[in-house]
Amino acid sequence: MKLFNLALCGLVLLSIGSFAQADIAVIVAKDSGLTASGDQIPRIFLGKLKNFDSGEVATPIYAQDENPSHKEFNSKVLKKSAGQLKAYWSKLLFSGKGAPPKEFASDADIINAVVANKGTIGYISAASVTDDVTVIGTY
Amino acid sequence: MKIKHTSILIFVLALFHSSAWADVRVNGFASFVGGITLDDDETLFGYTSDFDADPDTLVGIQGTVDLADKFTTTVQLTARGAEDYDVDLEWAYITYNYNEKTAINLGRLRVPFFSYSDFLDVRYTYYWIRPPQDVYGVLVQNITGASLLYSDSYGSWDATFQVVAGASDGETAVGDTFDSQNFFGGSVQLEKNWFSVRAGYFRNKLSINSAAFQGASDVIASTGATELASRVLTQDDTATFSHVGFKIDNGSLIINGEWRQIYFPEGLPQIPTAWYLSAGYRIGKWTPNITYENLDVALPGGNQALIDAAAPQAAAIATGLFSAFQEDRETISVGVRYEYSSNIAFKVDYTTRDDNLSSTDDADLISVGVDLLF
Repeated sequence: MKLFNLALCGLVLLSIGSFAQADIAVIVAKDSGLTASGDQIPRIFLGKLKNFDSGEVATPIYAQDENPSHKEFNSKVLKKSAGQLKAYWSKLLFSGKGAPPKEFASDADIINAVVANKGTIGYISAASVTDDVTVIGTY
Repeated sequence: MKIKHTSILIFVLALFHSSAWADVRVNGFASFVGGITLDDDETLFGYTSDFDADPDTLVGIQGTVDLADKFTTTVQLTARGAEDYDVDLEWAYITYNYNEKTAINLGRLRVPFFSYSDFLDVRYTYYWIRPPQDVYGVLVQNITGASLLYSDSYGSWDATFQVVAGASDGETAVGDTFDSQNFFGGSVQLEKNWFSVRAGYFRNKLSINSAAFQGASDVIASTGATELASRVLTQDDTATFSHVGFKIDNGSLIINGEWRQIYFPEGLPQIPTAWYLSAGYRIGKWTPNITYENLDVALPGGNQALIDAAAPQAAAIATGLFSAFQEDRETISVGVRYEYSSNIAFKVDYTTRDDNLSSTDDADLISVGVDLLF
């Protein structure tokens, strides 16, 4: 019985844990008025689309490798493995045509960067969303 | 690197050195490749039937410095086994980032002939051990000059336009010096989702200085066939380069192909046309791939008439020289790439060449290698 309870607790905790990591929120500064939809979001984060519909220059930022959102965003939104993403940015880097977006350690760092400059767009875990940012996409 | 290029290099390196090092990025890449042909008489891509680790091995370092507002300097050095690991300045240029869509580069630049030209040496980024050599084998890789890059998006299409102009010089594979003047052209690439397509056109005036060809030309000229004599020489001859390419990549299946034609009617290179079709499939960390490539060099239209009108000795010399540059061959490669990590990839490749004009040039080559990013 004890074992069964333990297993049940484990199962519940496990499912809560995975549920909390299931959502990625793509964010921009609250009063920026910027939006993006559909394929615009992966194109912005790969540097292929350089402006929002309003004309504002888009500055994507990434989460660092250690941040769990990083891997999830790569697979859900960019649809690339770590190696494919590195290869993609290497092509632009070594041909002088671009550089990979800056990386930030924590969701709080990303929120600060997004709020500080209009046009900056990042992704965080949905649970970290604050009133300073607007969510323009969830995955 | 001639004197005129050295002065630009010094200028760029001086800027590099004197900057406040506010934002310096150094990145590198390397490939260690070994290969062996399967029969004693066979040679291919610099390999023989003795195992060799030099022909494709290379190391490259690139430094980028952010200078004053909107200006960046980029320098890339490479060392190749095929050139005794002499450190070579691959390119060095200043970029003016006018805005998020427009950039101007000035200095020594890579010519955007092909889909993979810009990052040709960064082999981690593609699945071949080496890109299809008949298609990619062109004389001029880098020029000293300027390029304009413009990127924009139209609905779901992302487009990149590039125009370049400049000049180049160097040595051919056999050590003759060449000079490329009035190099000018451009490329356009469009992409949407899993599909991209590309086209390019370039032209230049090319001179290749060869004592052997000069001698043969003089003999032909002495028989009165002056137009034929000038066609066996490459002196201030206009050559154009046309290219189309496409790529499909849906994450698992990759299909790509390129076609290019060099139109060189008044020189010995004549009209080489090469194309390839390649497919790869990503299964986890593995990407098996297969490629078919075709090269054909045809005699320009007017040449046969000139040969027929010439004296027998001149005709024989000219025919011999043109034939030496003619080709009709097919190359098939089968390989696998294993992505060990996001900066290490292992590759193995089996390439077989079938030469329809000269079966002694047939060859089978096995290569293994590792590509790194650092």
